[in-house]
This record gives sequence, structure tokens and C-alpha cells, in this order.
Amino acid sequence: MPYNVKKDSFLCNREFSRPGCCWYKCDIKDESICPECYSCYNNCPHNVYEIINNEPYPTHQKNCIGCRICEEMCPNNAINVYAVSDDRRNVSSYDDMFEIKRKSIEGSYQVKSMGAIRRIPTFDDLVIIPAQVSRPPLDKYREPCFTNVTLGDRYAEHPLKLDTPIMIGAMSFGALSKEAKLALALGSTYAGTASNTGEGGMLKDERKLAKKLIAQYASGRFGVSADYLNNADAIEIKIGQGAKSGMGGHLLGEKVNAEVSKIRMIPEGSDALSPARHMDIVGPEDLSMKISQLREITDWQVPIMVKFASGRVKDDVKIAAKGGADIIVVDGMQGGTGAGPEIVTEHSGIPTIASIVEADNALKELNLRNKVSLIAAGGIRNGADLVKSIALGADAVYIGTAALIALGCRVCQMCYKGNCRKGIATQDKQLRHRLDYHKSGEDLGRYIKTMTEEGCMLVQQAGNTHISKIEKEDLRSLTLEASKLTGVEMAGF
Amino acid sequence: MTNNVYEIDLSKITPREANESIRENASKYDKIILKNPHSMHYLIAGLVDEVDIEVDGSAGYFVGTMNDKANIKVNGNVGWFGGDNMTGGKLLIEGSAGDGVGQGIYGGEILVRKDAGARTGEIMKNGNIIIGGNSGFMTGIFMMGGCIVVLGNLGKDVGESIIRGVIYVLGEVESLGKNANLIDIDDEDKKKLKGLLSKYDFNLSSSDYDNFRKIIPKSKRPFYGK
Repeated sequence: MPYNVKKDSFLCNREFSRPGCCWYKCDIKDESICPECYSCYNNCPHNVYEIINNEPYPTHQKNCIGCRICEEMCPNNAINVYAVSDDRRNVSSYDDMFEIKRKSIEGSYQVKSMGAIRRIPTFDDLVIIPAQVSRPPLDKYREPCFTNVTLGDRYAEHPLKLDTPIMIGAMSFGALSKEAKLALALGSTYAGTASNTGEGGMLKDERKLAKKLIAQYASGRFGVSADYLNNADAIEIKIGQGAKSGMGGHLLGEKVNAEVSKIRMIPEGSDALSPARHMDIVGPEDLSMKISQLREITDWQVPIMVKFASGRVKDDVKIAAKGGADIIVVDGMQGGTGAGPEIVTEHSGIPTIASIVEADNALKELNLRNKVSLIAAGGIRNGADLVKSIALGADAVYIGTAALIALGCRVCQMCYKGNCRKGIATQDKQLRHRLDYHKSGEDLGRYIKTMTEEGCMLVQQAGNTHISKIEKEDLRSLTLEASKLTGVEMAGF
Repeated sequence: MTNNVYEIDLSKITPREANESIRENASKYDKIILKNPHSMHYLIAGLVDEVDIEVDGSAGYFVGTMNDKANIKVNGNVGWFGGDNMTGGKLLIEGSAGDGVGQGIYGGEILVRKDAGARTGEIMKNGNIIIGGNSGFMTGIFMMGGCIVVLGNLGKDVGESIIRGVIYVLGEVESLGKNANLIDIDDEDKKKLKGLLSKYDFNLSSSDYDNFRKIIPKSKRPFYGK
């Protein structure tokens, strides 16, 4: 059992008369029902709680995945969730046995949201070496650090010019609420960067709020039209995503409400199929033709991007670069999703740190490294991850899950249920009301700016004046695995 | 015939130059004639203006992609993915079309006077596609709405993974794809077919209309959930 949920019954029952104690957690603002708030029971996405003698108890602790929504939303601070260290049985651990038994009873594979969470080599296995005398450090408090980047100036008349190399990755309206989409747009503008429509078309207000907006072009082509593409600052052809590489999607009609229907351009309440591959991109020449087609539609004005799940990175990147892409995105296996089979998310793809190096090397082999921009995605959380990505070869990064956490997400991994307690991954009006997109947008903007500043600190202490100047030689690896995956020297050698 | 006509000679220009010229002149003229197309790819890409365009010859891949209001007539044949992702307007092809004609269209009408290749109307969401001759394998794959009419024969795996929309066929069907169901048409269908086909001089008799059959989805949600 990885988590232990403890609820203090005394605290749970105290001071129910406090007015407005849980105003943002309770959808029915009626103080007379406060004694029966059941916030933990109502908000737990994993059915950990059960009502016994009119009081909620965490009786199904094996269901807990540690999102701590109950803890956060308890108005009386009566709940604490503790992580319990893994048992040492390795194969046939409690988790293994639980999942085998579940499959034997339910006969279904597990679906979950977000990216891979099992232990794999990450940015934390790398460190940035400080400059001393051989190269002097720069003074964070008195000397400037520049963070502006230009992406996609290979063929596009108007490349993406950003104040920071941290961009918001593709997350669609439909998977996310309108409020979440607007918060992402607003946050990206506050931080001077770009947001991304995801596969679900473009909201008018999203376009209005995002100074730079990338339009995604995925296999289902939902909401795609000449206007959609020409209203964007870049076009991203999505070949795959890290969390469920090589898989299509099926949006259930229940999630296609009037507004989703309007921008996806499909009837309300109708299912939507996204094939596993673009029907017209099944080989290198097809991708090249697709890039040319989109370039003609957009009159060569904006960059054409190609996004891959990280698999055969070298081959895929070379095909896209030769095919004329301005920007290539590699999404490592930690990249997230709204819904995907757990077995694919956790066991398909390669770690982000490895995919960046492979992509960078592929571009160098083609002598196109200075012409094609490279964006890294998958599990990027802070300024250190940003700087390490750039040092490994990226020009910029996407954040997805981290951006949602800045909005309030607790990574409960249940986005696909459509009843997100935080109003982020839902179309339910009552739940959506919980998300104030103005405030969340500001939160996101602050997070990106702080992350950029963290990056600057690391770059300056390594002796550089521009965030893009950090190099692979400025890194050392703490583990043999990460060293082997990235070619970064081991620390101390 | 209108007098307000503009001609563009494509023989010595690139697709980019051709499309720029088409965009620039679409709002100024009632009709544009594209001379010497030599099967150029991406012709008339992303045009949102209302204008008549005549391609005096054959066009390459993706002709009329994302067309929104233009009435395009191609006097010859077209390559793959003609009328890709159209949201409105018309595309009349007097010859034959390659694979994937009408891929992903949301609206408008496409007519192929002769035969079409494979996967006609794949992932289409709405609009009409009429094929005067035969249409190849997997016609209507992943179809999510709209209407395909085929006056000739259909190849293998018709309507593979179709979840909405309808495919009418006058000739033979080699085989059906997953979730596709072949049934007889009713009077409503006949009325719809007459409305669609009478505009295009196909000279069909009333018994021809009786002989149409249609392919529709067996289930709206065949693969996932309940």
C-alpha cells in the first residue's frame, strides 16, 4: 500500500459554523449543510472514502494514489496522507498482486491520465557544474541574463519570438475545460511565451488571450480549417505524444457538449475518432508533402512544427528535418495525456533526457542543427530541468502537467473521467466554476517567470549570459544510466 | 460567362507563387483560369474567398485543400487527396482522382466524373462526395458524417470503422469493412440521391435509383465503451 490516509474524527467535526470556511471547495454555499460537508468523500477521485454512521472514513486506502485532494479540500485540516515506502518483494509486490487480481476480476486494462511515473533516468540524474576560475561565474544580482529565443526561422516569414524558452504544450479543449484553456493562454501571455491549442480546435477567447498560439494538426483533424491554421502563430503536426505513442484516440460523445461540438466541428453528443496515424502520412515523403501543404495554406508565414513521441528519435527527426520542418518536438515517455492505457504509458517510449540528445545528434549529422529548432517535452518541472534540456541540445521546452499543477491540478490521474475536482479536466459547469482563470493564469505566468529565473541562476553560475549558451559540457551525470543515455560525463571522472 | 476573368499561367511559377497570385486575385475577379497546371501540387490551398476557378488541365496532390467558398473545376485528373479538409465550396473534377479524395471534409461538395482511388472520403465529417465511376478500397474509412455516392463499384473493406454518415452505391461491393452494414435504400434516400445527382448530368433512369444500396454503421460506438 503506497499511501496511508489518516482522518482525525475530532478535527473533522469541529467548528462547522465557520462561515465560508470552504467556499471554494463547496459548490452549494449553504451553511446549514456544513456539518455534512463530506468534502473528502465527494472530492476523492479514487473512492477511498466511505460513509459510516454519517461520517466519511478512508476505508479503501488501497485505492489512494496520493493526490491529496481530500487533504487540500478538508475545511478542518482533519486529513493527512502519508507516503508509505514500497515493500521489498520486488516482483509480486502488493501493487503487482493487486493489479493482477483486478484484471482477473474486471477483465480490462487500466486507463490513467498523465505520463509515466515509474522510476526511469531523469533530469535529476544530471547536475550543472559551476564556473570558478577556469571560467568565471556571472553575478545573478547585478549582471543580466538573457532568455529570449527565436524558433522556426528556417522557412517561416514570422518565426516564434519568445521571451522565455518555456512553452505550454498541447492540451485540447474537450480534454480540458474552457477555463483551463483560457488560464493557459493568459499565463503564456503573462510570461511572454506561446500556448498550444491541442487537437480540439481553437477557442475564440483563447486566441484573444494568447499572444502566441500554436495550432495543433492531429490525425482526426478536428476543428481544422484554413481560418484555424491562419489564425495561429505556428502549426504543429502531431505525429505522436510521449504518453501513448503510436495510439489513436476515441473521444466519447458524452464529452462533446455544444461548445466542444462547435469548435471541433462535429455534431453535439457524437463520438470522435482519431486514427493512430495520419491517414495521409505513412512515410517520409508523405510527411514532407504534408509540411509543404500546410506551408502553402498558411502562405509560408508561420513555422511548421512536427511533434514525435520518443521512439526511433534519430530516424524520425531526420525525416522531419529533411522534409522541411522548421521546428521539431520530441516528447519523452514522461509526457502526459488526458487518457491512455497504463501499460503503454509506463512501458513505451524512451526517457526525455535520452530523446533530446538523440534528436540533437540527428540534426547535427544532417548539418541542420542551426536551421531546425528543437523543443523537448516530458516531465519538465523547474529551471534546472529547463537548463539541462537546453544543455543536452534543446532550444526550448514544453511544459504540460507542470502547467496544470500551477493551475491547481493534483495529478490524481483521472482526467479521463471528466469530473475533475479542480475544474481543469471537465466540462461540468459546476466543477468548472471552481477554476478562476484570471487568477490561475496569473499563477501560471508567475510560475513560468520564476522557472525562467531559476534557469538564469544556473546558467549564470555556470558562467553564461544567455540561457541558450549552456552546453552539454556544463553537465555531469550522477548515475551510470544517465551518463550512458546522454553521453554526459560522469561526475568525478 | 462572366467578363471579369483573370488568367494565371502556371508554367513557370512555383506553387507558392501560384497560390499567392490566386489569393491576391480571388477577391478582385469573378473567375480565375489556371493555365498550364502540369499537375502542380497544392494548387488553390487554403482559399477562403468566393470565386470561380477553372484549372485548365490536371492538378497534383491536395488541389483545393481547405477550400471554403470557391467553386473549383478541374478539366483533367487530380492526384491524391483532392479537396482535402474542405469546409465549403465545390470541387468538380472532370477526369479521375487519386487516393483519398475528399479526405476529412467538413462541408461542400466534390464531384469526380470518372474513377477515384482508394480511401475516398476518409475521416470525413460532413459534405458530399460523388464518384461517377468506381471507388477503390476502404472508401469511407473512419467516416464520421456526410455522404458519399458511388455510381460504379466499390472495392474491398468499404466503410471500415465508419461511425456516422452514409455511402450510396449503384454497382457492386467487393467487401465490407468492420462496423459497415449494407442495406437497401428507402424513398427518402431516393429523393436525396435525385437532389444530389440531377445537377451533374448523369442521365440516370428511375430504375437506376431503385438499384442503389447504402452502407451505414452497424454501431455508433463499435470499439470503445458502451
